[in-house]
Amino acid sequence: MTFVIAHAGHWLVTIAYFIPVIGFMAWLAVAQLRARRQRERPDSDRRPPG
Amino acid sequence: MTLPIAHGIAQRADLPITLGLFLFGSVVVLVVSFVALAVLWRRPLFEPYPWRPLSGFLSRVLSSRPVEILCGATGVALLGLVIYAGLKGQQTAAANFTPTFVYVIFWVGMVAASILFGDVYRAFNPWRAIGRAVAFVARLATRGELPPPLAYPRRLGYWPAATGLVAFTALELVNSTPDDPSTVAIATLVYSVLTFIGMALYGVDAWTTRGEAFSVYFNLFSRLAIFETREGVLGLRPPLAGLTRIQPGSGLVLVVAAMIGTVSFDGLSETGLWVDIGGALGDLFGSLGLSSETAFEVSNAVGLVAMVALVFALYRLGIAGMKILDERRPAGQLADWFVPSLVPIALAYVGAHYLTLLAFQGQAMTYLASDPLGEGADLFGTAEVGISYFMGARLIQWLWVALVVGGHVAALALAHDRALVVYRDEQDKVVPSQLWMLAVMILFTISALLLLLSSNA
Amino acid sequence: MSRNQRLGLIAAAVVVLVVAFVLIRPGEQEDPAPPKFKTTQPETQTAEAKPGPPPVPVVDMRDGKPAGGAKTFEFRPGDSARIDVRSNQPAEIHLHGYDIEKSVQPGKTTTVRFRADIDGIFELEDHDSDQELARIRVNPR
Repeated sequence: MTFVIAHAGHWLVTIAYFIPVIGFMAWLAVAQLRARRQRERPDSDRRPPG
Repeated sequence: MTLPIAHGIAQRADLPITLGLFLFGSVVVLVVSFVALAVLWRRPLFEPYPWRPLSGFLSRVLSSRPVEILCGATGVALLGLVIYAGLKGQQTAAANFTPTFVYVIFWVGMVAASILFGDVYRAFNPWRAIGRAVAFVARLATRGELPPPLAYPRRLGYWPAATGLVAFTALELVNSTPDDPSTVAIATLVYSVLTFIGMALYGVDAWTTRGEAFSVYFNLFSRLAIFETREGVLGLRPPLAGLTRIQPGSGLVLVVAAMIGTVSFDGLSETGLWVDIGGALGDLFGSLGLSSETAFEVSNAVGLVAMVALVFALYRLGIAGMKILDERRPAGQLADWFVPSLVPIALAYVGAHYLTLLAFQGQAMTYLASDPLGEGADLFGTAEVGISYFMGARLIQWLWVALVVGGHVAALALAHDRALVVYRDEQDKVVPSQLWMLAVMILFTISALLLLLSSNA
Repeated sequence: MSRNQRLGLIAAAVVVLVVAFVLIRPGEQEDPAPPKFKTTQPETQTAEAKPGPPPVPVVDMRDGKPAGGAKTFEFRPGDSARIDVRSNQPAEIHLHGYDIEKSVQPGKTTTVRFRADIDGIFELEDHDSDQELARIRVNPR
């Protein structure tokens, strides 16, 4: 007997419920890392303050 | 390996929720989270919080010394009965006072009492009562010249409490005969000895604040309640606010991870997935030469520790995410500051998983109190009273979903509030940091619903 | 975000939840089927519901263990449930929850009857050995 999602069968379906959240966390990490790298780079990409 | 009927003393195991209820619950969690993000308030609501002393005869009586002594004496008497009945009474779990008292009335009932009435365990704690009594006598005997206890080491922190919690749940979940009355009685004796050693070394107050597993456990839940005593005066505070005043310390995150992880393992052990994984582990250990009973216990131990570690790791993953924005503060400190917001989620796990155990098996106390040793006594005339199954499965399942959603909302509110305090000088970090906590909480909440869907399926 | 916008958002959320409730129908029980048997062992087939009255659930104890493993017997709420128990050795059986105790003698069938009005999952066990004989599952209304 596998991890039954009542009547949906295989345990892979269980993993499917976590994919959106994991995906969200991955997107968040990428977005925030990119934002941090932009702040750290002291070059013309940055808008001047004010 | 067949699935055990949950909690050998229970007469009835819960039905899993339907797929429809799971989906609806998940939708509610997601919609609520989305709305919460949009309506975030700007100033901390929970800290600092107002505390108003309660006037009146009842509140003065409840916080008085004689009542405290009475509660302590009651706790000690019950401790004695647990040990005596466990060792000397009939060794059938359902007929003996000890297993039901310890696993239902104490372990679950005291959580309910704590969230409703505040830190009542502090008054009933038998080890604290005995420790204080011994200290009192010792001070008299040495005419006030009692040597001071050792200073509680900062590095020790909440580690003894975390270990104690895992050890207690191991008694319940790893052991192949957890409901055996004498096993519970002996474990109680061992725990008493260890607790007295801790109190003797570091003092009763220091040990009950950091080291005594049940004090820490019930105290965390009691912080959701509206009742708080300051310097012997009973007062009122807003609900949940008490969670903002937890002292950070080494091992605090592990305590909360243990609270969630151990209940998760209890839920997991009732699913078909565990039949596969646990069975495979059991076969592995069996092939290494262990007896089938020992192999079963070792598999359970692995599962229990793995779930606590998994919860810990997921939370720390969220903190690592926060670290992307916040390079200044150490991860350990962030972890300590935000972990109190997980306590409502721990409550949702504990509440959903043990609700029926308390509501139904808890009623067994009526006949067990009359016949604690299972030998035919009838002290209160209630020895023949049966258990009434007054709640149907539908109502129970909606209550579970309500608990899970409620815990999630409370957790989000607390985490947001804490972020407002931590990042008061860096307002641009408040919302991005919260997205990490939100993701972690959604993981925990959906997992709770998944466990309810898959148990005994 | 202005107060009106917040209220609007909350109202929208409520609408979404109501729609979800109607579409997903979480209040319904999924299998309004006549009583059927499932085993907890993965190998055995599920017995198909036969036309005509469903067969009476039977537990066949051989030396204190249920033949074919402990099966799960499912009942609808309010059913007049009946389980027949046979054994090649004398035994005391106990149905938890409904709290029914009966003796089983070799050669004679013991019938356990009850009204399935408590929902949940209940164990039928051998009272002396604590051996699980069957699981009784009563679905909610």
